[in-house]
Amino acid sequence: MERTPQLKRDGVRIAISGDLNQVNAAALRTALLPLLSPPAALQLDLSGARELDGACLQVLLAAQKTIAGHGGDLVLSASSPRVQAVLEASGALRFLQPQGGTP
Amino acid sequence: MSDDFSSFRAEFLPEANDLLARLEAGLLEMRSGEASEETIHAMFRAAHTIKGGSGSVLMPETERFTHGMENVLDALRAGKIKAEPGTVQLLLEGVDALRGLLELEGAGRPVPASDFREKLVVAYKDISSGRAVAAGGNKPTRAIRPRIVRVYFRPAAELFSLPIDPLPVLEAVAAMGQVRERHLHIAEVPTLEELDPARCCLAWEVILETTATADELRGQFLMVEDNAKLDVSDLTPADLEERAQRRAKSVADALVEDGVISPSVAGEAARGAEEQAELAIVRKARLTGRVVKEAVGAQQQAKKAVESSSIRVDTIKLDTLVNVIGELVIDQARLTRLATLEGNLELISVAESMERLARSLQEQVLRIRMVPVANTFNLCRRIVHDAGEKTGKKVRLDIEGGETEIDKTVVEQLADPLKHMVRNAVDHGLESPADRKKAGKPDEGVLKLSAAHRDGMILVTLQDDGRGISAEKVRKKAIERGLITASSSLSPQELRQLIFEPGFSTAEQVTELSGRGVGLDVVRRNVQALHGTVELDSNEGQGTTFRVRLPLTLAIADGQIVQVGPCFYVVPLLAVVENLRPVAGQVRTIEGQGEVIRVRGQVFPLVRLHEFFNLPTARTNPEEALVVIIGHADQPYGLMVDEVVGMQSVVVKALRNDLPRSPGVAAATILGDGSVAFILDTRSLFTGAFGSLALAGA
Repeated sequence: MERTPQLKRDGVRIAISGDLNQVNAAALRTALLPLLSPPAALQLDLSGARELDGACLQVLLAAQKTIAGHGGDLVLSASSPRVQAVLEASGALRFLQPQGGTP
Repeated sequence: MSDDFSSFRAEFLPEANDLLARLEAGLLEMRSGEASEETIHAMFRAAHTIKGGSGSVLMPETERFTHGMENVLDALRAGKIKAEPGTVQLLLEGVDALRGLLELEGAGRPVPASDFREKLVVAYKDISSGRAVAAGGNKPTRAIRPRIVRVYFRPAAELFSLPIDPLPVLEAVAAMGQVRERHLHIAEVPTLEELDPARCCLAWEVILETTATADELRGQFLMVEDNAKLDVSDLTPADLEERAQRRAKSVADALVEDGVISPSVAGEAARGAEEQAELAIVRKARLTGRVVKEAVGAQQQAKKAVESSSIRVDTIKLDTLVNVIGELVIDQARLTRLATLEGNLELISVAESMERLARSLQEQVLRIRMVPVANTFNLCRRIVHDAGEKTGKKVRLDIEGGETEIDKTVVEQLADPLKHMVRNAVDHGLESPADRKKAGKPDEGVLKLSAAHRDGMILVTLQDDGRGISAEKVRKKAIERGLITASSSLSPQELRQLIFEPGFSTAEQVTELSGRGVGLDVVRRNVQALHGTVELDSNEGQGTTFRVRLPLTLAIADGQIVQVGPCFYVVPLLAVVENLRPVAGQVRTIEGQGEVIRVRGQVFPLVRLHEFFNLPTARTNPEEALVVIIGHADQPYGLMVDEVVGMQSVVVKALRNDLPRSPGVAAATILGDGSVAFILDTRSLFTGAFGSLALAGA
């Protein structure tokens, strides 16, 4: 059954759960926008995400650009195995992986 | 390694190489669908003899490997399997492997293990036993050797609204080989505020080491290719080096190369003070400082790697080195000869060892001059694009074998004829989209440009899937132009070769012809000037294939040394079809044509070399002399000499420009005994002897 993304910010950590697919890409964008205010270094917890497709990946990368525009960063702190595999296969880890290794 | 069999091996090797050349020629015929039953039998016999011979002179690896090829050829001649393109390709790759084996084992050197060879052995076993057919068709058309392939994919902007996810496609592509590099291009991704989630702004570039064909890779994109930009192309070592150099240049260049920032952002960043460039990138591209910092580290590493891996050398210095080593090889050959005459065994041994070293040195230096043909091939992409635009034709250019290396001089001189051929193929070879539709073909015409090493030469092939060349129309034009008479009995294949004649080189004729013709005489002349050949095959309605064969280098030539009176000459081996001693009545004089020689029902004009160069000789009777059949595509002929002395690789010495040029002489060389021999230009020798081209059968 389709699960719309649920977002929760706790300090610098943003946890996203649900199905991160094209159907939900617009909802993800809308939910993420108000959460991107400083502090500068935010962490992304995708351990509750069941899937991640290209459209939602693009939303996350755009979010990182917004944060970078404020002089900050958005890095991955945790991810489910499926999401981790997608990030690797897509080449996105270069941008989301914290410096010096895997989350 | 030296053993009692070394002398037997030395005797066996020339025969084995000759058989290998025949086997290869047969396979090439087979690949073009021209091999007769007798050709297949002859190929089997060649493999069988190589196997038997190598076993008897203790070359076990050669024997084992040839056994596998022999089994495939046996199955082919018995009709148990068909000559599928994949099978022929595997056998051709086997010829290359066998050539290497003969060189190593023939010299008594140890043979290192080779995965490539083992894969071929397994493939031969499967094919000859019919297993390959059962396992999905006897069609292993892919090259076993993995290539480095660049896959660039920029999905259509509307892809996410369809909705289709491109990521599984990229995972499937990655599974088709070993991923060397993977770059997610985010240069076009805006900030979240500006993002339209339904529009795709991403692109990918994957560098893959794979045995999959370009078509197989493209096939993965079937569901996502509408309005997408997809490029699948082989990368040569030179391409990879260029990429590394671009990445090493500056961090901005590296980030542009990886699609992380756009060239305009890089340009803006570069305009700032150098120490602020990274900061400018961070700000303008909205990248995090972490990503840019990592890019700086990678760029510095790339810079170090590039700086330590190569140096630039002036080609003039390289040419001087080639010449000096050429002299060294000549003097070395003299030394070996003198040592042999002296009969001093120790001196002979030292001389032979030095000779090997000198040859090796020469090979290494010549290798430095070798460059991949990719750069020249890539020039054709623009030509295809421009010609396609101009003619309103949709054309795709597939390039294969761009990594094939050839002497710098040859590759530079190949560029013009090649560009000409490619332009011609688009202009005249391919049909308009409407005509293609009528013929039941896809809108997009395909040109395939490939290069490969074959038989010590480079074979460049240009193939189109256009309308082909009508032999009948060529025939009519040739009669109109007076190139042939109405009674000429030329085969369709022979007729098509007429398009290389100058008489076909006007635009008017090309528009009337359903083929090509502009300047192909110039193409042939340029190729022949490089001591190469050009020929074509064509099937009406299906397309045309041009094959250009060129020597790998102009600095050394394989030649047959012939003697006439007191002089020696070198006949380029490429031109030699066979040598024969005429029997009584085989050489005759035909009124109006001069002397001819009849060989197996064919009549060839005869040139007496001693008469041509006005040399004294005792052998004026053809039955006491030898005739070398010279095989030019347009006019084979016989060349009468006193003796064939042997075959040899000779160092080509250009003749001084201020000396008058003599017809029939291309260059000179110095033989092992220090004497000078002229290298014959077999084409100008013929025209010098007969004045003009007399077409066979015309």
